[in-house]
Amino acid sequence: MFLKQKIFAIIASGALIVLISVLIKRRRLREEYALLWLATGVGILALVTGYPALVWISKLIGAVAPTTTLFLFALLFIILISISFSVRFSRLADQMQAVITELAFLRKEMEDLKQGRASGSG
Amino acid sequence: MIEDAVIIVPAFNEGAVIEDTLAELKKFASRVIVVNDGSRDDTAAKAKKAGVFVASHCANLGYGAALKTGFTAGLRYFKEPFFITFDADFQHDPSYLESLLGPLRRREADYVIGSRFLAGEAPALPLARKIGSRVFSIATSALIGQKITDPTSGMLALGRKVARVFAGQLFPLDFPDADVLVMLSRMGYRIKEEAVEMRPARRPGSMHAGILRPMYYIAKMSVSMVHFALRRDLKEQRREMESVS
Repeated sequence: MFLKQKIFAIIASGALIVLISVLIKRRRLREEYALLWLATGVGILALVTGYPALVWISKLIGAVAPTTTLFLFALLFIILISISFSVRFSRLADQMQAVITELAFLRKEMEDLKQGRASGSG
Repeated sequence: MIEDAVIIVPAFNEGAVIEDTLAELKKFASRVIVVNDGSRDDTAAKAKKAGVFVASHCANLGYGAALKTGFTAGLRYFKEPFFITFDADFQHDPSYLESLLGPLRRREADYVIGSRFLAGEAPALPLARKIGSRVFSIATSALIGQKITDPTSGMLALGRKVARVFAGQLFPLDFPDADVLVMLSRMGYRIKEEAVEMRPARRPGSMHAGILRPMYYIAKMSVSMVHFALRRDLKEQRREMESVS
């Protein structure tokens, strides 16, 4: 792996970790959503700085160059993050459906109460 | 007059036809729930004026979610043993409600489908829908081991036990039809078809209109049917659901 590639990968993963940390600190991103992103940054950083490990993994998975392994892992992390978001969206959709249903019933009950009160007072 | 069933009518922007649909429906059934699924027109106001139970979603969630709300309302606010789903667009003929309830009252079935393909002449559907309906009919029949002629019918009758499934977590929220049959069959519920005739919808457009939506429908329905066919825990889910209630 060329020094330039190494420096670029370290800067990119370091920037990702800093960005996620700042977003958590400013309460723009909740910790549970940040975990996979942080894991991505830390994972890439670990692979680049622990170069022998990167070479060993590359041989293990049959990658021609260590940079290919890096890209592969980055891609895997992105796929994992997408799946994690799909799971969360599915849960959110179910929760939203339940809330809207309950809201519909509350509205109906409130309207019935109001109507009852109006006819009682009239 | 039907006194032992609640009719559930999901409605989205049906202001132009809802009054006529409800006026006709009320000649046959006294208990009606309209689920206004976030309509932007006066659907809810017209339904309220008709004197039926109206639950209004504050946002449009789709047909399946509207049905789910309808069944939740039916189980929570009504004591009647049966439910029938009925389209708001004047397509369904309420004179068939009695015949749909027959197999439930005689305890011959737990879930009754109003089939458009059992009553003599086949309905006039666009070619693509006819092919789609036939393909899903063959696939559903093969998966559940019982001939189903109209798996996409929206005119259905069911009892409180099945209604609990519809109001629960298992119920698919997007276009529930053929996949629900596979799910119910795997849960051990008895399914039957009764002949009904349907009229052309008074409102133009359909939830299956366009190019992308039918493609999404076919893909989603296929995945959902296979998913339910492969699940081995559905009888257990039924036992759990019935032991709670």
